[in-house]
Amino acid sequence: MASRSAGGGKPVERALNVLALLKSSRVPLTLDAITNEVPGYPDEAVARRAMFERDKRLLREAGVVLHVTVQDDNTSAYSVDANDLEVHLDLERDERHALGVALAAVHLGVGQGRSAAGWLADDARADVAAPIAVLGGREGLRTLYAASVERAPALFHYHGERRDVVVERLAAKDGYWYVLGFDRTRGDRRTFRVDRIEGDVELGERGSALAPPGPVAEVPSDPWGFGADAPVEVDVRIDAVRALAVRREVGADRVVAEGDDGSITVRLRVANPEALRSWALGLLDHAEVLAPPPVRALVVGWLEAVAGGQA
Amino acid sequence: MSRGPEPGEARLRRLLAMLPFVMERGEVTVAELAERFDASPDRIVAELEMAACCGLPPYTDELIDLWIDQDVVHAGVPRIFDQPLRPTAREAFALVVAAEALLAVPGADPHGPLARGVAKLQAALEQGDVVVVDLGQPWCLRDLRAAVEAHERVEVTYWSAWRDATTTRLVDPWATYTAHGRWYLDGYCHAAGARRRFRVDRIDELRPTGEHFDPVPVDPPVEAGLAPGSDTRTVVLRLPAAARWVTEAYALTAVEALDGGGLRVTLEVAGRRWLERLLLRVGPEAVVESPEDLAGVGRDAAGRLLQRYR
Repeated sequence: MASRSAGGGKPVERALNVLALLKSSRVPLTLDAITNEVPGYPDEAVARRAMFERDKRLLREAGVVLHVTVQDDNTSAYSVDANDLEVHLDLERDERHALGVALAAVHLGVGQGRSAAGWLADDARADVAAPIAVLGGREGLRTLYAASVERAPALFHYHGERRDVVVERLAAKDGYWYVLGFDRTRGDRRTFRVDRIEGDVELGERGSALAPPGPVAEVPSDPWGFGADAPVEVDVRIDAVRALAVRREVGADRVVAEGDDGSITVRLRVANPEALRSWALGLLDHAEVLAPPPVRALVVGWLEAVAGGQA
Repeated sequence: MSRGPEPGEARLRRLLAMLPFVMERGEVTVAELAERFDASPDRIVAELEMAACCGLPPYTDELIDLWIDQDVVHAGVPRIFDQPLRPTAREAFALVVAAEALLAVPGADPHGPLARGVAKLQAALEQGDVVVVDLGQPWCLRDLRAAVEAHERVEVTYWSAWRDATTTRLVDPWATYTAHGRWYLDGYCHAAGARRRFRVDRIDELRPTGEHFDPVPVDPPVEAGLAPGSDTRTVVLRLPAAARWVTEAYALTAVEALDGGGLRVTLEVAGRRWLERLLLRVGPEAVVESPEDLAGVGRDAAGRLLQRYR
C-alpha cells in the first residue's frame, strides 16, 4: 500500500479531492478557496483557472451537479447538494438481496452491465441457477427511460417522420417494447414500437417535457390491434386442430361461430391488417381469413406474391 | 472487463459508486469489486490506492480510510463518500426493469421484499409506474410451475409446430422461463427419450400423474429457441430490410448485414412446417440460399394455402 501523500496532479484524484471539499463545506467555495486547498493546481492564475475548468467539466461529466452562486463581489462560488449525489434508499437486507436476485435472474440483452446500479443490490448470482426471464431490447430503451426520469422530450424518427415525445410509459409485451407518451408533433397520445424507431433516440432539454392531463396511451392487447388504420372487424376460421389454442389466445368472447367439425370462427378488431395476416399465416393450413373482402384480398395477394416470388 | 485508456469521467463515476459500497460493507474482495464494477483487479487496486490518498485538507488525518491487504479491501471509518451514489436514469434502468420483470412472473409477491425495494428506488428517482412488464400467462403456466417445484411428472398434449401435429407424452418438467415474450418448458420427454424444449402456449392439455422424478440441475440457455438435435438443419436465408424483426423474434446463429439494408441470417430449423411459417410471414422477398432442397418451401406452402382461398 502506497504511503498517504497529500494528493497529486492527476485529474481524477484532483476531482475527488475537490468533490470531498465541496461536500464537506457548509458554504459555497470560490475557485481560489478550492485551488488553494486542493493539491495539484499551478500557481499561475491563468493556468490554475484552466485546470479548474477542466476539473469542473470532469465532475459534471461524471454526473456531479455543481451549483454556482454569484457572490457580492461578483465572483462565482461552487457547492454540491448531497441529495443530488447520494441516494437514501434505506433498503432492508431482504430488499437488497431481492434486487440482486432480480439482476441475476433477468437478462435484458442490451446495456445491462454489472455496474448498472448494481451497487444498490447484493450479488445474488449464486442463488439463481439460471435466468428466469430474457427480455430483448435496444440501447435506445435506456435513453427513453432517461427521458422520462429527466422530464426531457425524446426525439426520434418513426415511419420516416421526426417525433418529439413526452415519454409516459415503457412497456414490454409479447416480446416487444413499446413507448407510450404524448407526441408533441401530432398533439396527441401515441404508442410506438421501440424496434421500429429509426436510428438513435436523443434527449431534448431537461425539464421541458410536460404532457397534458389525461390517461396514458394503452399497450395493444394484440399485435393486430396496434396500427394507424381505423379498426375493422375481421373474421378468421380456425380448424379443429388449433381451435382450442386460439380460443385461449384471443379469448372465448371472440368466438362468433362453432362448426360441427370442431372449427371456430373468431372475430378480431384489427387496426393492423399486416399483423393479422402474419398471425393467420403462422397458423398455416389451420386458419382462413373469411372477411371483410379487403382483408381477405390482402392475404390472397400476399400468398400469390410468395407463390410467384420466392425461388 | 475494461481495457486500455478509460475516460476520466467513467473512472470517477466508478469510484463514487465503489467507495460507499466498500464503506458500507467494511470489507470486500478485489475480485468481487472487479466483477461488480466491470474493471480489472489491477485497475480496482490502483483506483482505490489513489482514493486512499484523497480526503480533506491538510490531507493527513481526514483521508478516505481504506486499505488493501491480500486482495481484500478494508474500510475503516466511513467518511465523506459514505452514502450510496445516486444512480442516473440509465444506470437505474436495468435494475428497475429486472425487478418489474421478476414481479410479473406468476406467483411473485406484490408486497414482498422485491416490490418494496423497487418501490423505494422508484420513489428516490421520483418515478412512478414508468416501466410495465407483461410476461403473459399461458393457461397452464401456474400448474406447470407447481409441477416443476414438486418435481412431478406430467402428461401433456402438445402441438409440435415443426411437425404440425399433436401428440400426447409424459414429461419430467425441469424448468420454466420466458424469453422474448414466450414461456418455455425444459424437461425430459419420455417419448423422445431426451431433453426437449416446449413452448408452454402450445400445450393443449396438462394432466398431473402423481409420479415424481429426481431433480436435475438445469441451466437453460439464455437465448431460447430451438435446441439443436439430430433432426435439425442449418438454413441460410436472405431477408429484405423490412424483415429485421426476424432478428428479434428468432434465435439466429449468424446475422450479416447486406447492402441496401437486407440481412443474411443463419438458423437451425427442425421441420419443413416451421420454415414454411417463417417464410410466409416474411413474404415474397425472402430467399432460401441453402440448403438447395428447401429453396421452394415458401413458394410451395403459399400455393397450397391459396387452394383454400379459391
